[in-house]
Amino acid sequence: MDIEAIMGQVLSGLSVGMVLFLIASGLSVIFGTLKILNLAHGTIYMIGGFLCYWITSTFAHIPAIFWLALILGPIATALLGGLIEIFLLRRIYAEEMLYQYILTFGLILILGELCKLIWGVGYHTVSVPWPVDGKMSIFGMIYPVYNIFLICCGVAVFIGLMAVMRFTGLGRIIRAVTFNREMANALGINVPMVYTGVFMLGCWLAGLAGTLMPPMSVVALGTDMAVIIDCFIIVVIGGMGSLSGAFIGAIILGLVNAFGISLLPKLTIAFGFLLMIIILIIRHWGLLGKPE
Amino acid sequence: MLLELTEIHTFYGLSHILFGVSLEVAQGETVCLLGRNGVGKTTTLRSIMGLTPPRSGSINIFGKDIKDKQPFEIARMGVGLVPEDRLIFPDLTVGENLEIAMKEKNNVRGWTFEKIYKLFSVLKERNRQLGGTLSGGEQQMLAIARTLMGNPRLLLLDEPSAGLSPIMVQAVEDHIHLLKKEGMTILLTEQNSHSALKVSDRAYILEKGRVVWQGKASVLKKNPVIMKNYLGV
Ligand SMILES: Nc1ncnc2c1ncn2[C@@H]1O[C@H](COP(=O)(O)OP(=O)(O)O)[C@@H](O)[C@H]1O
Ligand SMILES: [Mg+2]
Repeated sequence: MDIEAIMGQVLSGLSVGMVLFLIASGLSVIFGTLKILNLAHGTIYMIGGFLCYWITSTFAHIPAIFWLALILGPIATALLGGLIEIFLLRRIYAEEMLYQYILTFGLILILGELCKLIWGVGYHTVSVPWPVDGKMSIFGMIYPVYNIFLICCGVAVFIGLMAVMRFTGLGRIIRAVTFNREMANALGINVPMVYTGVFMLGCWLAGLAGTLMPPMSVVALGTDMAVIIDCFIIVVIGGMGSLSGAFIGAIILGLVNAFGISLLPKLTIAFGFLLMIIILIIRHWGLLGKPE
Repeated sequence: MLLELTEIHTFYGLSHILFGVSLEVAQGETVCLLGRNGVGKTTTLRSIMGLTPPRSGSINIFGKDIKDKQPFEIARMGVGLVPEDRLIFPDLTVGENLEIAMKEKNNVRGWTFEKIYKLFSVLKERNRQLGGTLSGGEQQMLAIARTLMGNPRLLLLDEPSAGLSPIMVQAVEDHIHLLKKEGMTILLTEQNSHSALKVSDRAYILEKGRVVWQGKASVLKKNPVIMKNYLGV
């Protein structure tokens, strides 16, 4: 591979990695605070993709409709998340772990079927929106602007989330509830509301990723499973519940996948799992996680 | 009565822990709940706080039945719990630990940062330090201070002197005396009856989830037979 091809792979690896970060950070924040491993998180991402397709195709005559979809799609998935938390998850916090797997796995099937009913089984595409649809040259090499845009989005969300967690009252409340929900509750913090809010935030992030991805990929059923597996690998690498861990893990997995495809296309999926196994053996709490 | 438990039965899952516990605390009183390890002292406080609501019986606080109320609602009514394991938020600073417990934006009435720092001067020095880096005694002070920031009218202290050095035990006692003087109503639990009886007006002794003795602290102090029978001291 020449330097140009390598840089191209790095860039596409990073941009996919950043979208994966958005999804994985949502999964990780939800797990950290609610102690719920939401198996249906990838499905929320997929719904974000369908919403992006649906909004941009139905209202195609409105100029800059993609950007409107980028605002509305994540809000819609966040609201869906709010309903799921209030009406379903709330009933099972006190139960055994098994119940949350059954419930969230059930959600994958139900939400997947709903998507099939509404949007069918076909593939859909969304064109790259103006003004990020061109190519640009960096150090004499030509790259799609949209890839750079995705990387910027990922980094911006990462910095934004870190700032909220570290510097705002909301972040302090989330950190307190994450440490011990009973103590926070006994100090007068409305923990059920924090749970709903954090679950909605996680689903907003998944929806944001879902809306950003279609111009670079396709909207189709089944994308949820591929993405949730990648997210598990990322949070295992980075450490469950750690935002910076999810960020690093996503970059690593994005790059590994990108180079895997160009070097050994048939073994691509194996690389992610291999990486996860290595981490589990040498440092099972992840690169930036905390050992129990 | 400011606090009134009537025949409460509390469970953890299938295990029955409290068997018809009744107790009362009047306005301004300091009452201690004594008993050996595992008799249900913590469970009683958790029942009052709404963390483990009783399955039957009733709890009235400030004249209101707290049935079906969530812990944060009970806290906002004016109840503050200092748990035995302190549960200081380790990755928040001392100042942030205090701030998070404020129920109103700025405590105009009652406890302010200034007042807290005056009472707990060690916390002022450690204001910017992370909660997780404090010593056991400092964590206990912070745990009490944090709960006070919510302006409770009823303070529940779970084994406040457990695991502390004699000097810190003394410091905690002094603080309880000060709070008493301020008119605070306090229900505290302790295995170490000497320390508890010094600050309390009345006492209850629990055994296997039942109240087996109640009366004035001064009576209990002078009655080594009861102490020996129920508390093993
Ligand atoms: N979360 C729990 N689940 C089940 N049993 C518990 C739990 N917490 C305490 N217990 C049991 O309840 C009983 C009373 O405990 P506790 O109220 O903590 O006693 P104390 O505070 O007087 O030492 C003990 O037998 C203890 O083993
Ligand atoms: Mg106890």
